[in-house]
Amino acid sequence: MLGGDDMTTTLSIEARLRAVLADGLGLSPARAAGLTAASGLFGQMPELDSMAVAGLLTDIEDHFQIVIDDEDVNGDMLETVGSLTHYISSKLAP
Amino acid sequence: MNAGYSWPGGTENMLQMGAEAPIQVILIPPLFDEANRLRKTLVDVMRGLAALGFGVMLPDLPATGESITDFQPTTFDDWQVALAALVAVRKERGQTVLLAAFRGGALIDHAPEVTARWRLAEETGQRLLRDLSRMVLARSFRTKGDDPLDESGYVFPPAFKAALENATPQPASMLRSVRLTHDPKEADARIEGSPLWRRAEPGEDPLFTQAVIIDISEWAATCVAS
Repeated sequence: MLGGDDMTTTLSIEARLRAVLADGLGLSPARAAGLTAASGLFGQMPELDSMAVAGLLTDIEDHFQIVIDDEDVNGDMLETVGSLTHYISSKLAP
Repeated sequence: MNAGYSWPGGTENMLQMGAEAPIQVILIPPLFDEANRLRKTLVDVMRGLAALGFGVMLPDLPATGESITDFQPTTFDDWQVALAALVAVRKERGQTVLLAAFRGGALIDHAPEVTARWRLAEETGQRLLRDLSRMVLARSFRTKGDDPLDESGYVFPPAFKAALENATPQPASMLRSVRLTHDPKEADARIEGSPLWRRAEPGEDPLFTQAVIIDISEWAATCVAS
């Protein structure tokens, strides 16, 4: 169970991820706003083909100033907005 | 509109409009799969620039697009050689030449002596290759097996890949570097739009296309006048 500050951080990371997804994939504002932690990504979002995944990972690296190891990239990490948020959070953790 | 150009390694296809116009803009497409996804936009940019009185060319680089040149013996230098040949023919005819490079196209635009250069979202070879290897990685989640194709369907000649890995956009004179609004990297100007070169269904973005046309034409006018 996340405490207050952790929850705030996670939500802000998720909100930033939604913005990165919207910009990179050209989602409409309504679709971007409708994304939740449970929203499916790779294999479920039609815009997110393999090339878009590659672009998304690069955008995330640029936006969050993190380095994503290719060994970390798998179907579980890219399954939902929540799983990707969790991964980004883990890379940002001190 | 379909035309060709010669370079020391053969002849390649290109789209061309306004062959006799005094100012010729050569659009250097993005590399690999990005070129396919941006193709429609580039053709629209051609039409827009042609309507403003520019001559415009969109060449296939050797071994790309409709080229019948074999990729395996092709070197990264060949792309620069081919581009230089295209520029040289125009200059011999007394035409003014400008280069407008998109994404990885900026990796090969520095060598020819031209009146001006314009770049959109220039990118390093290393990052392009990483994108391609991650495409293969993402595809493997679905195929659950060995994928016989290398990056983006291209089986890279080793020397080509090594050269691309080390290629970075080079400083050049009369250069304007433009990026998308959301791109945090350094740029001379920004254009509102989203990265169509990554779209599964690229579609089109008329406002973005128009902004590209205006920016290239104004930069061309500035450079030609100076």
